Amino acid sequence: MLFLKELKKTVFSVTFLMFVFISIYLPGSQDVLNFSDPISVPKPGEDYGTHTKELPERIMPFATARLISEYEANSYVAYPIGFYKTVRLSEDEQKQMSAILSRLTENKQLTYEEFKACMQDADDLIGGASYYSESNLVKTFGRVPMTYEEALEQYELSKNTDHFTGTYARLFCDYIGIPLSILPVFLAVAMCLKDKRSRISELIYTRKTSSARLLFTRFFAILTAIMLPVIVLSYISNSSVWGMHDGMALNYMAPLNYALGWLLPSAMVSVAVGIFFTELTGTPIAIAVQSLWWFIDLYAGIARLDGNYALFQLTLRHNKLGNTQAFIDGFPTLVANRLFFAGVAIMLMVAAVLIYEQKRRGNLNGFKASKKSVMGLANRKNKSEA
Amino acid sequence: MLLTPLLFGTANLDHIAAAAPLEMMVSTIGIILLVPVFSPEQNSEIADVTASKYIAPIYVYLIRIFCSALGIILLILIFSVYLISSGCDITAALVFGAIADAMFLGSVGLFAAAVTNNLPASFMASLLYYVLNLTIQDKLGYFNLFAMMRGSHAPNLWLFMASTGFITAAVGIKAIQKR
Repeated sequence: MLFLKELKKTVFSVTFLMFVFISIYLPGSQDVLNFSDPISVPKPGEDYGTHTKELPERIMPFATARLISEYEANSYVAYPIGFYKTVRLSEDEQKQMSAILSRLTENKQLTYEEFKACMQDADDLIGGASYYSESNLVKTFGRVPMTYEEALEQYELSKNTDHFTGTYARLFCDYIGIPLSILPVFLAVAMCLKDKRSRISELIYTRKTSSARLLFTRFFAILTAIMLPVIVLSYISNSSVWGMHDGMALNYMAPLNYALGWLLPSAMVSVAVGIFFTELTGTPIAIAVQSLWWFIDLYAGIARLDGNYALFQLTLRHNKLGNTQAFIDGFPTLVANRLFFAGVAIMLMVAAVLIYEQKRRGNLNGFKASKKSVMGLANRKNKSEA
Repeated sequence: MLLTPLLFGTANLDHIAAAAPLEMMVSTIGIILLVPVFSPEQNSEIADVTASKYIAPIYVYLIRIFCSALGIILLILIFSVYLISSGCDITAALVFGAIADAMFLGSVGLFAAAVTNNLPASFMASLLYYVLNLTIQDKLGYFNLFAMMRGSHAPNLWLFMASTGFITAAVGIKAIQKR
């Protein structure tokens, strides 16, 4: 059976062994394969940590005071792609910052909207990602201690919505999702190039099996090889908390649901990019394409670590145990995001099938075809000149 | 490299902040330039042709590696000049550190290419080392690629020396395979 042959080829490859090693090592190094912190009922008088709240009466004075102190030192802190840097402004830019500060301090009737506009101007001058950017303003200056009632509410959400296991499955997905958005491309490229290296591409072209069947079988075989260890690891990770919540109503399907709903579309995209670009060019260019995408997506996602999902984010992040309210609020975006990426993967695969079909008919042969067309045009031009 | 100023913002950075784009982004050119050095010979027809030539393939590899290393140095120098023109505090140690990072990342993949003879697996090895630096950099000691962002230049020489070791080992493995 073609599917089993493809699966066997994938599983018995160096790239697959490396994939399994990374998939075990990475979550293991972050302690998400063996959780040790149970979610317990908050008790009155405990420290419940902090959370963010958009409280203008708190944010406005604190942010203004911070901006004044940074202006005086001419040293502005920013976190582009999540990493700390300090920015010095030129004399002219300092004058513009001074004007912004005047707007902030001299207008006693300043509304919250006007304040936010001033902060946006300050952020633009600094170059973005400063404390005063729209995404950082509340996160930095709106951090307040959590009350007992709020902590209890969070616990109830973890208990009733996530059934405890969901929140741990989400944290596991956060870590495993990072390698899972990039590593499958290596497997896909290796599988497609293997045909070329073993010189069996032309032999396969002559077979009766349809192009769609050949490529989609490979697609599903690679996905199966990838997802099986991921699901096993997801259950290993999740089962470490089952004993901690003895007697509670746990959702034992959560690891499977999250693996398929949260992780599978990212893996699908990575495999589809690998197959599409390798069939198109006959080179490992897909690795560069997917690496660049993953690289930008990963760093852009650092600003959304705590469950603030974006529609076009390939690797979804939820780097916090609990925070179920953010998950509930972002659920529609999350669903749209996953459907979008699954759709992109299918479209790439359909395009790959069309390209493969043309290659089988001898109409397209990667770079050779484009070179031939260019040479053809050049020859035609030379002939007409002669 | 072209995307780096857009992602990070490269105006008026002190030497600690300027290390971030150099270490985290520009150093990845080492993967692109060094890892595919052995890839043409993965095609057995090309391997047969090069093996039949008077010049031993090892010399060809060494020339390719020299060109790739030169490319890495030139590109990092160009980017450093761009950073200086943007008002950043760029020191010679920072430039050397970025070159050492790029060489090390590339040489890890090159070594993997010599051992496995598999290009995707070789790129994967370099990427794995990069990811390890994002996740467990505290445990990597003198082989931490992102140490300059924390003000430490101690790993630079170690990384450079290790990269020459990996390159030598990779070429050595290829020489043994040819026999």
